[in-house]
Amino acid sequence: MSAYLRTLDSFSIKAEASADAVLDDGQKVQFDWDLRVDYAKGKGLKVDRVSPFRHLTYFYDYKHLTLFSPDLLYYASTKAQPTIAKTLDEVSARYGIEMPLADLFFWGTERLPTDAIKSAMTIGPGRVHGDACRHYAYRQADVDFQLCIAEGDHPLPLKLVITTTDQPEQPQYEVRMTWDLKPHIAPDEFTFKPPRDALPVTFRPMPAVAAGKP
Amino acid sequence: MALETLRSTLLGIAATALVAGQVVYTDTADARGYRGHARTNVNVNRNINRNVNRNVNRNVNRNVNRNVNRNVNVNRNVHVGVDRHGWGYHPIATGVAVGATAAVTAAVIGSVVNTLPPSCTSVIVNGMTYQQCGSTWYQPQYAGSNVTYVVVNPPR
Repeated sequence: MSAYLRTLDSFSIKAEASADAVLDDGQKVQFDWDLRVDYAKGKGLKVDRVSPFRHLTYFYDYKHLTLFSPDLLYYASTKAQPTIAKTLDEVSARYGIEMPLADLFFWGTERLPTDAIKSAMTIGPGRVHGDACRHYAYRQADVDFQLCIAEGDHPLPLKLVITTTDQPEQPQYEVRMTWDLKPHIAPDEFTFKPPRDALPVTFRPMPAVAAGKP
Repeated sequence: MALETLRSTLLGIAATALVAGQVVYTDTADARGYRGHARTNVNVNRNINRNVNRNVNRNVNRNVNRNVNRNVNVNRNVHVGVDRHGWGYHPIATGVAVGATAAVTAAVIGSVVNTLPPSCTSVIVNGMTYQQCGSTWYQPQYAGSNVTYVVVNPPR
């Protein structure tokens, strides 16, 4: 899957995600949101997340990363690194930004040490949206995760489950993906052009950055 | 509890949930907070960002000459950072913020809220957006993938 992912020149994903939140008394509640990812190698990446509370779009065109909230009209931009993985690492460290489905741009890159995974096993056949897939389960520090990888010529992840194991309640996140490997992507889709009424704002630095620490 | 009582209680809760659709929100607004959530990526470094800032200013003036003046101002800002990790704005956090800031008598410069009071005006000064809400100015910013508002001095 990882190696195959890195060979793709472009793709578009529609996905539905569900995630647990843990209330102060330990009760778990689950929230859902819709995701859309458009990617074209050498051109950029756009990720759209619509939750019941907020619509947020990430734009990356190899020069800048911009976050835009269509419902609030706020946008903020920062200079980007020449790869998606490096950019995501940088904005995570500096600003605490975590893009949905970031894993898709880490797997199969040298950024990930393969020994991060402590154990892996095959569960057996799986099925997502009517498509046959192969179900695997992995453990690494602080998380267990599962993938269902499509059978056939396009070994893509159709489902990802992440169990957070460093919290006693072990909340889970789950996302089911539908892939389009011949997407219609407009050439200028990845560069954010602020609408006339858009409002420029800043990113709040993470506390360590604000204090001048690395 | 008799089974019938239990059942009607459950039905009552379910009916409330169906009608209101926001049971968590109303329940949380004054009492309940939020302590964690599922990670949404396997390979992103994680720092749990949970900031609780409390400013309590208490001024008590007492005159014992038969006049008793007592002024108690309690400013309490509770900010629960809910969206380091792509969570988006969260109603539970709203509940905490709204519930806890209800007693604010004057916004403290530097304090952070998740929502603005009603009737604010967007003003752009030197290329940066501010929200003017009465005499209080807020600077919106992305905190992780969430939008928060910092109380600032008037920008001009």
